[in-house]
Amino acid sequence: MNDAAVCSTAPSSAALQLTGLIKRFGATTAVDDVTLTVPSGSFYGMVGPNGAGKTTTLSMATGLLRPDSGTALVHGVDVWSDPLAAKRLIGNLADGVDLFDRLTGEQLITYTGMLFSLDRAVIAERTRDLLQLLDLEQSAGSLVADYSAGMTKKIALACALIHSPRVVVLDEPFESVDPVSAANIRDILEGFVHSGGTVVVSSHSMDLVQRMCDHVAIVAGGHVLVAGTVDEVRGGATLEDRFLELVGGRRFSEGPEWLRRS
Amino acid sequence: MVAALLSLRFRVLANTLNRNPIQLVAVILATLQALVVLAFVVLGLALLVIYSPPIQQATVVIGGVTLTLGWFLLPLVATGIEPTIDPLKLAAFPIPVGRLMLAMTLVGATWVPGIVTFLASMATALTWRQTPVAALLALLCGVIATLSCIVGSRLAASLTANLVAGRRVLNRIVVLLAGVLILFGPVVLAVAIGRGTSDPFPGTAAVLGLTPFGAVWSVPGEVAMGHPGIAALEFGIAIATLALLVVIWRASLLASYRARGGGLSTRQLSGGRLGLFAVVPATPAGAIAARSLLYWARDARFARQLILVPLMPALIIVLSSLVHANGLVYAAAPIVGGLLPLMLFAVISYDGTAYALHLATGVRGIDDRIGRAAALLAFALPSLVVVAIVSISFIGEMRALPAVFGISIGVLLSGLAVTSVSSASIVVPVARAGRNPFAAQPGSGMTSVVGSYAVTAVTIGLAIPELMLGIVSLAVGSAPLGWLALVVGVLWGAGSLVIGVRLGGRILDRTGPALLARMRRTGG
Repeated sequence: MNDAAVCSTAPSSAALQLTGLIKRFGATTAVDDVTLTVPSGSFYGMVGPNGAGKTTTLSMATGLLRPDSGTALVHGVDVWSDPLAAKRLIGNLADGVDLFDRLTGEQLITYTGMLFSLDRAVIAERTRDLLQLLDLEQSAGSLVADYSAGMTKKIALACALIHSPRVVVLDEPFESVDPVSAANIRDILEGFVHSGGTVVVSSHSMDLVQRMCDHVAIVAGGHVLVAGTVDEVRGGATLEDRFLELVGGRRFSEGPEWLRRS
Repeated sequence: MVAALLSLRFRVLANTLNRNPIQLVAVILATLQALVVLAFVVLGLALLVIYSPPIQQATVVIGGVTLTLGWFLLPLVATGIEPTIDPLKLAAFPIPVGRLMLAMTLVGATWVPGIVTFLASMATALTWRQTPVAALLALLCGVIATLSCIVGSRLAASLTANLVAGRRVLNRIVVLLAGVLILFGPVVLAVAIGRGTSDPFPGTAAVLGLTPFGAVWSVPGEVAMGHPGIAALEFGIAIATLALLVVIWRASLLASYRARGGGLSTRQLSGGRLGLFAVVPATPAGAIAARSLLYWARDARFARQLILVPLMPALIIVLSSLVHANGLVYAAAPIVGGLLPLMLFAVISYDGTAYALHLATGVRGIDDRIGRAAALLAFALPSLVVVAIVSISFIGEMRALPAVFGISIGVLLSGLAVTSVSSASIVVPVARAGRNPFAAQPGSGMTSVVGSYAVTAVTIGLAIPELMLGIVSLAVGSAPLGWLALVVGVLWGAGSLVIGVRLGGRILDRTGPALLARMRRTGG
């Protein structure tokens, strides 16, 4: 079942190399032996149904969740044995975590920069750029608690970019973001990839991944079902068709009688 | 519907305890403790019969008022002390507010504090057993008293939640303090009048009996002492008080429904004001210190705990003048010094899943510890100085200042050392930022209680050198010993803090991801 090696890039050029990651929560195995290579300079999409283990996998890859076994290397640096060096290389937008939302947007970015031990002048300059880039200048002085869901995603993205990482890992970056902001974020990420950076995104949106990414992995039930370049994976069909074919679970039914209105 | 809500509450409790055996142990220990206290109270009330009626009356009334006020203050000083149903979570269901109030009252009455209060109230009948009418009345009044306690604490929680649910909370704390004054005003008045009479203890009780919270406790005694007129008046006051509490509670609940979802400020503010972040050193520890300080001021969950800083000394000063024990005021500053770090015993819980940022940025545990400790010290040290000077000036023993400073600062630093370690491995369920800070988190109360006990015990153990020196100095009035206590308190405390911060930092480096995983699971 493990087709992760479809993409045969040498490990040395891998931006992210996950090997044999396993995570159990009690009796359930959320991530079961995930091995994945994200080539340097790729725009990598990770798709899968709810509960597939995407967030768990990305948490283990970015140092938020300790794996039961397996390793995660970022440009050759082990996330769990040398976390400080590894985390300087990663920009992380985690899903399902709160922000320190009693800070203003500007303060939150500054806070993040200071946690990365950046120089004050550097932080100030980059904060200005990021706020402008993400169209948040107008609300820079408002508490993050008062932001809309989309603005919250954007400020979290700004925090993920402040230390100029080499690999950006984004868990559901487009959820509840308006179309204009989503397009802006996509532009930023594409620019980042063009300049040699690596982006890993997880998403529910097949269309988006097919258009945006050059590599994709389909994950379900804690396993990688298939991984490779987008063209290899979809093999002529759309990514969505390929996904449904692999994951299954599609039901052809109109729902119960009482839900039908005409 | 009421039955459904009650069973829902017990289901939640059972599930929480099932999942966490340590909490189960904590619940059992706390219950045992409550039972021991109850046994002593019942025994005391039964033995009270050997004293003269005025003394009996004074004991019951003053004890009763203390108990009632305790219920009112409970929600202010402890989160989720009992597992309960949060009215706001039920707002989506079409439950009439009256039914909801009934269910919440029953929830309160069917958990340890409610049951213990009810049994203790019933036990006042033992005191009046020589006058059967009074004993029967005591049973009736006991029911009213228990209801007033439960409704009162619900009301206090609901009112304060409405008050501090916003973001700029410090000014509202002032309003809260005014509320506390309304609660304590009658008591202070009663004490003042009582002290003027020939027999202060029963004199105070007689005045208290006419106040809203004392009346219900006073009725049986007045009957036993042959004052049916006063008893009838007090009974009226008691019923009116309960009715008024219910009415205000209802209004407050309805107001909190309305307030829900509103209150978001829509004004836009451009940047350029980094506040504290521009002042602190540009290091991870500096950033964490600045962020912690901002949270102490902006986050209702922290600001709520700061109420204790003026409240505890005020209570101690009132108490010391009430029982004519000047020595008590020496305890004010050390108690504040012990309580402030105690608030941090599981401080990462308050970050909730936002703590992920610290993990993602690879902050070293020791920087995390230093930042949080520095933030607390930044306002704790000045507060201690003020509290010590103000409280001691009440008895005019300024010579005692060095000893009191020594003990207070020593306890503060040792406490901070202990919580730097404890908070690296303990998270408890707390209300999320911006949610009702008084919403009970099932089971957390007990864990917090046991955790606080453990932290307090270790802190006292660590602070023994300055405690001994300080206490001896105060007892014999020796100034040199007092100065010695100050030197030892500062040096020894600072030493403990350095060790605590290092140890806690090392533990946090290891436990950080596990803490985040636990907070993600509890949805915090």
